[in-house]
Amino acid sequence: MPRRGDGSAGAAVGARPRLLQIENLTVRFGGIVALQDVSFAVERDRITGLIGPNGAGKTTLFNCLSRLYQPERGDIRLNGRSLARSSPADIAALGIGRTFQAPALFASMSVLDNVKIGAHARGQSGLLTDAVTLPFWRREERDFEADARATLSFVGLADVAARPATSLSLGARKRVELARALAAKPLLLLLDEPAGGLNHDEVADLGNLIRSIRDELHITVLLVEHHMGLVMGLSDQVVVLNFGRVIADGPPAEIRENAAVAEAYLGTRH
Amino acid sequence: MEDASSTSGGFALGRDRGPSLAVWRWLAGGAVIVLAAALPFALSKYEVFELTLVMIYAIAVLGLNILTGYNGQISLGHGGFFAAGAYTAAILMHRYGIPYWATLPAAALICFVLGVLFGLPALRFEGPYLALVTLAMAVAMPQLLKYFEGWTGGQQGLNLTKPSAPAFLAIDRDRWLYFVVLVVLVAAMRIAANILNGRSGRAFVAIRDHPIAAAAMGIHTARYKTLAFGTSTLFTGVAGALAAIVIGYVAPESFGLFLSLSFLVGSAVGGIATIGGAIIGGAFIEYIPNLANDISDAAPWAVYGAAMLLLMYAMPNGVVGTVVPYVSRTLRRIGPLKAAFAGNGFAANDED
Repeated sequence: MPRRGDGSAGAAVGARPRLLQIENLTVRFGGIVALQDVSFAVERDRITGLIGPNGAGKTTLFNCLSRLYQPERGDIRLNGRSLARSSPADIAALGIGRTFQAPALFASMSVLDNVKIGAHARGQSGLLTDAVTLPFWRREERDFEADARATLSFVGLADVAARPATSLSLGARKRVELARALAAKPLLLLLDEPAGGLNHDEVADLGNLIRSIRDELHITVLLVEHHMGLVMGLSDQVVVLNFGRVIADGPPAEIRENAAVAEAYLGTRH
Repeated sequence: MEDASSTSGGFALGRDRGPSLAVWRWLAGGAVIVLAAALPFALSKYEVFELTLVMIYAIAVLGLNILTGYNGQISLGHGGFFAAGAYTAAILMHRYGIPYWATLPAAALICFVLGVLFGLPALRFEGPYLALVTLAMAVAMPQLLKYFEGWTGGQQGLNLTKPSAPAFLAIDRDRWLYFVVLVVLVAAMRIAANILNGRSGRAFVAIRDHPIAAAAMGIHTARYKTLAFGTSTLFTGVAGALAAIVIGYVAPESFGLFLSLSFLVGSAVGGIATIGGAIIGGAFIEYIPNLANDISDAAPWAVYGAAMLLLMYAMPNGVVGTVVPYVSRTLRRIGPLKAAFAGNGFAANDED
């Protein structure tokens, strides 16, 4: 596997296998540089936090990973394979799942069906097999259903499977989104501000849930979050963006002491 | 095992309501089919013919529901696809002597391909713009049919021999065709339900609900929107073929803009994102104009309009789209009560 871009800041001792590599990513909107030469790596089976003040480029980066934006320069590799030629809909099949800042659930569907949609990329059944319900289809549909129910239990929502997705509280809806992303059995899970709008207890539960996603499901997590306590408590590695550049990359303890990070968040001392 | 019974947190009685509901639905479905099979023998030939048309329109509306209701793409052009199906059947029967039943798969295939071809440019348009693009189909169709006179018989149209029942069945043509159409309708509803409950159907609805999230789940939105278009026009095209067979005549003037609008009205009146609503829609298309005529000779369309407004005011989600959720809500409310009366439901008092 090619290992370009290894020289990113804070290369860990005894490097773990890298699942995702962001290499010299540059995105411009008109004259505004949203991302400038951003490089970092996400190690397998770890939680990587991505933080930075508003407008630092976190969401832009997520949208590049989802292939919603085309970067001007640079590359994104998953397991060494470039995503440059993939469409947004290919990404799920390659093993990247995501949640959205504001829950983007399918409003007319039940919680269970929302989660079943998550398994779409793993499925084979087409229009014809759906229409005549071949035995093959039944097996796939049964598997999807069993997986969806298991995933709902995992996030603690087994009781509301039959409810309309929109009837749930914000916290529960965010969990449905999480279950939907997990139903795809991704290698990498992108979480876009999962704690936004949650109360204190819900944030603590969310932290435990994300930890068990790493430890029990062995899914690598890239977490964008404003809730500093959550990111620092949860992450194995933290990447800090400011004005579209990586200003720090390392374990949370190191990031806490980093002068450039403090400056970015608190402003320059004069 | 069904989670439906434990939707409210404190209600953990493990009572399984799912299967009994399913049994009721099977019984209800069976009863409707038995009734539908007995009905033609209690009615006059003309009434049977009218009912046959209701079912044909229902299949056409069902096709439109798949596209507009479940996938969120509006079409004002389905009359055009209905015409394509009708002329496929008519030309195959009239010019090539193909038996009537064999024209149905041909119409299905041709209209599926037409729908996919039409669905591709439709990808670039949404909402009212898509409505305008499909409107072009509806407006152009009658004139196109006249233009290809060598095939279509032009203004005069094509006369077809109405098929009769197999010799061993001692029933007349109209009743035989009623049964042919009934079988196609039941099959169409079953197939539509299978598709919509399957991986493809979920993808259709996901695209309607949230296209960006749908793509993030790995749904190739362009492919599924095109497929939804093809599936939709397949149903409507088969309905058109049945209409040609049952009426025994096709002419360009029967497939004007008003037919396309009627399908949309039928769809909305029955409930656009429902399967059963298509039957209500079919009945509306067939009966309401005549009924309006009976009520007022002078202004039948005013009566038609009033009937439409009244229905949409009373049931904004269409008849089936309003009644079914109401009934299932009521059943859900009754469920815990029944359990409580059975003597084991003391916990059934919180939430919901």
